[in-house]
Amino acid sequence: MRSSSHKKCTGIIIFLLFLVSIFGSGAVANTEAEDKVKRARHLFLTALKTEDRGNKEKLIKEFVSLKESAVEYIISEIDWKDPEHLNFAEEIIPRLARVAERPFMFLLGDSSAFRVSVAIRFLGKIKSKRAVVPLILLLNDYRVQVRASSAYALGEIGDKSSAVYIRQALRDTVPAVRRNACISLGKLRSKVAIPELIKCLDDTAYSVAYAASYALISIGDPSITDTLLALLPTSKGAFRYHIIETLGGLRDEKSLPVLLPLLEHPSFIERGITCEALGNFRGNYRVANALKKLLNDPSPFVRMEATNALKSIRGY
Amino acid sequence: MDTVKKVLVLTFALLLAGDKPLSRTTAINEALERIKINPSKLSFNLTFTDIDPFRLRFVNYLLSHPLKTIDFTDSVALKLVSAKEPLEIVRAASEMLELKATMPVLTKGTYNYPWKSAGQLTAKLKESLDIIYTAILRAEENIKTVRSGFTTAQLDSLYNFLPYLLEISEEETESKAELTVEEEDSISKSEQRLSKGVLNLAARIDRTKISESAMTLIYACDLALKTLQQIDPKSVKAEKAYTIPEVSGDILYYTETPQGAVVIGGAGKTVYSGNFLLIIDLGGDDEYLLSAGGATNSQPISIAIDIRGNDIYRSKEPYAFGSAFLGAGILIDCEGSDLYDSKNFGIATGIAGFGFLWDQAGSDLYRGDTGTEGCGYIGAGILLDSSGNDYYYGHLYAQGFGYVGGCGLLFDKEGNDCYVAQGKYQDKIRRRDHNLSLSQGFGFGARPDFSGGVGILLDDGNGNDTYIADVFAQGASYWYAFGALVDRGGNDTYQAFQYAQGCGTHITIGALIDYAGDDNYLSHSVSQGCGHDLALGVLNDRKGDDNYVIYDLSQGAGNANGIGIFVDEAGDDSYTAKQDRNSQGYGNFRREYGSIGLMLDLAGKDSYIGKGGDESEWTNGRYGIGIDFVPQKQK
Repeated sequence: MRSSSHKKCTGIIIFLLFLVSIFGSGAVANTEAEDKVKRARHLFLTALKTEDRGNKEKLIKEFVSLKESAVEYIISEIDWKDPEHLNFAEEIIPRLARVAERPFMFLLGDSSAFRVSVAIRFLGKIKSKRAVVPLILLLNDYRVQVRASSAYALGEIGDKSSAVYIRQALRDTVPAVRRNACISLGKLRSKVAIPELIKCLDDTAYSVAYAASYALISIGDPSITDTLLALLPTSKGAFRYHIIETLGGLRDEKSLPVLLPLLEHPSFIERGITCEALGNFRGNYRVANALKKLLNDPSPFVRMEATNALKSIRGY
Repeated sequence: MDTVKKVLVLTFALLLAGDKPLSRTTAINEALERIKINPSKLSFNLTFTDIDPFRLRFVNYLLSHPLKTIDFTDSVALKLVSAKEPLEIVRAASEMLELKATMPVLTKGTYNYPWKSAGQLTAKLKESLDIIYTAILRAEENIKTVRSGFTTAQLDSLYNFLPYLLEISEEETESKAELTVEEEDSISKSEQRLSKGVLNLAARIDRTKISESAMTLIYACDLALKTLQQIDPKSVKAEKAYTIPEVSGDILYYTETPQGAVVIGGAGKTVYSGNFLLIIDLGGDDEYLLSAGGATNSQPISIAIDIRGNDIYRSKEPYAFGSAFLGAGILIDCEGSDLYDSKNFGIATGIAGFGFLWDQAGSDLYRGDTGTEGCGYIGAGILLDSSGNDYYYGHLYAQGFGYVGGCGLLFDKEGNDCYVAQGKYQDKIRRRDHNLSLSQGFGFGARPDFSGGVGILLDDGNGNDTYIADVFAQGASYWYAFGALVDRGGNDTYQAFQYAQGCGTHITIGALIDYAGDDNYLSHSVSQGCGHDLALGVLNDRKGDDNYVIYDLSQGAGNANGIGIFVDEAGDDSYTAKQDRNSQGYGNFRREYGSIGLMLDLAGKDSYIGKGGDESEWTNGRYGIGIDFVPQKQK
């Protein structure tokens, strides 16, 4: 009787010890994790304040070595919307790509537009292929911030299959989304988007028209020159200027027979903009000689653009 | 015959057109066309921040139509200049805050006025008192309603923390140097948390009701003033010999009402050292040692009218002179060269209230520290000086400063005035050898949670004025705000260091407009028509041979997707920029698109050190352009 109660007591004690060991180790683990996040915070804040490059790099390396804790700290910072902190985190995040991808993917379902757009920005920075599909879906989100960030991040990731969907964002009502879509399509060198990008040269927002021009130049397909040359005679105003600028940027000699006569156009703005475009034809003597004639143009704008273009042709 | 007529008419029209000076709008449009931008479509992207309760619609509108900024600033200045009575100025401030305050209508009530039986007071004096007291009763109702929406604890929180969010203590600056990075980070987050809590609470304040109260009081004071100025102070005898601890000297009348004490001072010197509901002082060189028209938590309505004499207003308390917290404070000084001396939030300051100071005559000296001389924050602070060569001295948030939900206005109508706002609060973030000003037409927001207010410094008349400040000043703003400095004449001098003279920083609008005179502009950087980070900065000088000196990133410079516009419309001007790579019509490429910088000189023989040249054009950066227009319309 006595031995059985003794056994029972021993059993209870062992069970209790077992429970203590489980929860105790959990508590130890929790404290350790907390300590790591604290350490990450210290390293991040110190690195942010440190001006000495060598020291800064050391601190960043140690911060990155904390992996999950470092990411946990960065996520905890998002709500403060401090641009200084966020920009610094954005610099570091590619080094944490492996461990950061999952937690930032989770953030995509957050209700705050700001948190989601930061997560998207960071996923773009780490070039997360797994984020491509969710980001494509977010291109249709009701929040502008989210749509704009997604359009940009998809270009950063560089998955060409997303181009078809980004192309749709060129029809977004908000210029920031359209601009980011142009930038991304340029980065992806997406030929499928050429017709839409050409339309964007006539966008009412200057930032979209410029972004479209850069995108077309970076795609650099010969078909662009043909289309633009066909559009030039009927185009007007800023659209026409952006076509000239893009033709120049493409540096396709096919466009010279059209561009060179424009140096004699009655509008001084058109002559000046053509000079600027022709400045891209580096080392081309024919262009240089044509531009030299405009150094005595009655318009100071044209003279300035001709001078700048000649410098550019000479490779200054 | 018809053809000959047509040719003649056309030739005549062309001749006329040739003589017509180039307009500012045409010049801006021409410059934008050269960088392939359609002027009518120029706008900032406003989609990346959430709307908060203090966002002003007109700020949003100007950010969407930045080229309307000069016309808008002109219209605000014109409205203020053409105001015939002070009420219109207060109304304009209220409208800037987009409050739909109704104009006051005063009808004489059937109140039992406390002075009804006072035998020595003249009928005119009693009539004036009746008018003002009727307005006080009306205003009191409104203010009580506003205050009843808060518990005592909430009111205390607002009283203590609203000013705290703005103040920079010198001790704190010293001690922060010894803090660890974690402690510093925690403090900054606690401050942000506190700011969010307090400003969300403050968003519940019915500013329309407070502005209606202020308008009612100002209307009544203005009505009574006409009568009061006719009274010969020697003709009024004292009701009795008064012994009151808070007033000494020539006292004609004293009584206590449920709203506070009413005092009438006589022709001799009177010294006031208390906080009263109403002071009317008919003459003498008086001293106000605690408050005059200073509305506080315990005295939410306060009015002081000083008819004659060179007076001294001196106090270390907040809300001292023509200032208010959650109420309305009005100070009107009709004559004499006066001294206004206070510490923080003391002169023409409205925090959750409307403060109004009107000095009608004399060369006055205004001296304050933080939040002074036209400072509005969840309310309005208006300083109107009608004449004299005045000297305004402050350190921080002064001389037309508007913080969240506020409008700060300093309107000086004439004289050679001097405005100084600098010298005490170190700019820790950028340059420790310089001080923050955030003054002289400065709008400021609580980034990233709350949009800023409206800060306007308007100097009318042909006086030769001097403006001295350091960092953030002179027609500048920060975070969804509007800051403007408008000087309508005289040969003026503008001196600052950074973020000044028509500068916008972080999604905001800043403008400096000088109508005439041979002016001198001196700053170091991010100034003279500079927009930084999706913001617009405009400097527009209309006439005179002017001199502009800067070091870098100025004179029509756009940075980080900002727009900087510099337009000098006439005169033989001189421009100096040390760093020509980022000044004088400069726009850089950031976040994969452009910033726009326009530097335009429309007429005159000008000289340049830097990127520009007389009668020439130049580009600087992808979207930066400078044009010194040839006198005749060029082709």
